[in-house]
Amino acid sequence: MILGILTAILIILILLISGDKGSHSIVTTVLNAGLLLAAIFLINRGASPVPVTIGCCVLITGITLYYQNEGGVKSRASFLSVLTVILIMIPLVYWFALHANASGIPGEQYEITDSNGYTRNIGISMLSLQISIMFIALIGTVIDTAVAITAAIYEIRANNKDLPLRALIESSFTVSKAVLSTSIHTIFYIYIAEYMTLFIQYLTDYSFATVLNSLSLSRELITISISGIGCCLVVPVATVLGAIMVTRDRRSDSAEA
Amino acid sequence: MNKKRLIPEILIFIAVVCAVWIFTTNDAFLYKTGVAKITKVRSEYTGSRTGTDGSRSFRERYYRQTITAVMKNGSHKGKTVTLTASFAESGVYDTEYSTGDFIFVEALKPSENGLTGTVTGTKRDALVITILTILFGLFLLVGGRRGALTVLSLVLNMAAFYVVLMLYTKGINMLVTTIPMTVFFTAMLLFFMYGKSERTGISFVATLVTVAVTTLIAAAVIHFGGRVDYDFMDYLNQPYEQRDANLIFLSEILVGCLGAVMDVVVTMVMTVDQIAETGQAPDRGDFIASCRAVGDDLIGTMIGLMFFTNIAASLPFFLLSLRNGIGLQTVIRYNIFFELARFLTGSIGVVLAIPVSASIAVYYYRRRTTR
Repeated sequence: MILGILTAILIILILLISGDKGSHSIVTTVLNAGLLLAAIFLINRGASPVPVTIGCCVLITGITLYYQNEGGVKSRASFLSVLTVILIMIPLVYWFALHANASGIPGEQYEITDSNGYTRNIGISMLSLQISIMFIALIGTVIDTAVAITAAIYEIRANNKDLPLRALIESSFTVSKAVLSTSIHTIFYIYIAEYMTLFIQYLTDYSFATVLNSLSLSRELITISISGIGCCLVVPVATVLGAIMVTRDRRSDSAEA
Repeated sequence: MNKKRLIPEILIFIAVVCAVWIFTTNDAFLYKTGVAKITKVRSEYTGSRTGTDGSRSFRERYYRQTITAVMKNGSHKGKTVTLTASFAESGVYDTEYSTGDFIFVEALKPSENGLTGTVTGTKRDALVITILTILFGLFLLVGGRRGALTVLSLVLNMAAFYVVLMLYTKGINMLVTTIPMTVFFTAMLLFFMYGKSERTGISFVATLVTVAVTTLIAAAVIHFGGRVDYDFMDYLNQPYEQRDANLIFLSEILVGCLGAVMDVVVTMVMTVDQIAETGQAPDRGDFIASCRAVGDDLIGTMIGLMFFTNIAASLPFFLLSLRNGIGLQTVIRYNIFFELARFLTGSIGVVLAIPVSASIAVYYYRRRTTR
């Protein structure tokens, strides 16, 4: 009921405020949710979680950039930057996930327990699910940051067509840094909201050392940091790639004309 | 970006990360509980059990581990301890330990084969502190002075948040403390990032208006939309009072949309500012058209970010439920209800931020030009 009303309000607002492109973002969100559900369904059917998730992430990136933002050099540059960052992050994600022993369901969380008549024998590795979560959390922020940066580069270039590549990269970096700090704050607040109840429980029940080493908090901090590191890495990657690709694109434009 | 400075900076960054890693892996002396490092693990298959979701069944292998570890602190420092633990392949509620892991050991006692004890968990502080160091280091490396301000702002935010939670545990209404905290967060952040200027002031007002409207919408929907079942809210201290839980949930919604709203508002105000700077006084229609174009570019990816960041963490629970034969609808209606609600309200905030910030900014700049 509540979810239904909220969804209706959101859809009406999007259509009212942003019209045609707004309907694109509704379709994209539905497609993204559908893809995620499909991934969950496949994993439930017995597919291996990590490959399914990474495939899902690449598809999501493609849809968001090419359908919603209507292709072009900006989308190509963002897509390449996102893929590069995911590739760089794979070893880091694995290393932290494997060493943290922080998968599964912590004792503090509402439990589906054996004593309630449920089974824990589900035959799906919780470790690989944890790796999947890190990738999904990473992808949202990295796409957002990459798109913001390439859009800014495109505008700078459009307003100053004779800017040499080096100068373009330099002035783009100024914008990119601003984008980085707002993106970080966005995810920071989302996570604070998500774990408010967890923090309350920690404050009332445990000591600092217990909290720092606990499964739930350490896992959240690692996931947040992975998203944040992805965000930081996409800044130089998207700035340099974007500047080069936008410059080349303009050159071929003028050659044709 | 200065190339000459970049290489030494990267070297310093790597050195600091290594130093932090070395220190935190050797900080056992700070702990009162026993810490040990695993030197050898032997896993033995003990049998398998099956679980079922009603139509299919799943085989789960169980193992027993014999762990040899060296104590790193306490009176037994340097001595070898033998421990046993068991785990299931999926690791829903238990963990498979491996060589090199640092663990907490309790109930140490000597026996014929040397020391024995119980494993009470993994020591994760080294990983957590190291990855935070990498993150903050990258902020400084990539963001320079701005990155330093970001780190400072995050630390201050955490401190303010801690104060709010402390007040809550002392029995003060959660929403009452969250609202001033939000005002403080917004003011501090905008001031840090954009300095003292008209733009900061306009962004501040627009952010607060948008967040307030979003929270009011959420409050109205919760009030009229029927009872929320907080039994399924993760980590909520039981037993809870419905009213108290409602306030916590509203506070979560308020804080959850704050960052995204600010992000949109800042971009919108910057756009209006730039248009106004160009000199000519454009009429209202032009202003609104360009604001719309910028807003349209923003919402798509912001909604995507909201979706993935909020939903990702519910993945394990989703699959655990499905494999227990709990239907998709039930999981959505009860278990990931809160994640979905935060995603929806956050997105509503993002969308609302566009007209709110645009109209406030346009109103301000037009009044200034006519004067």
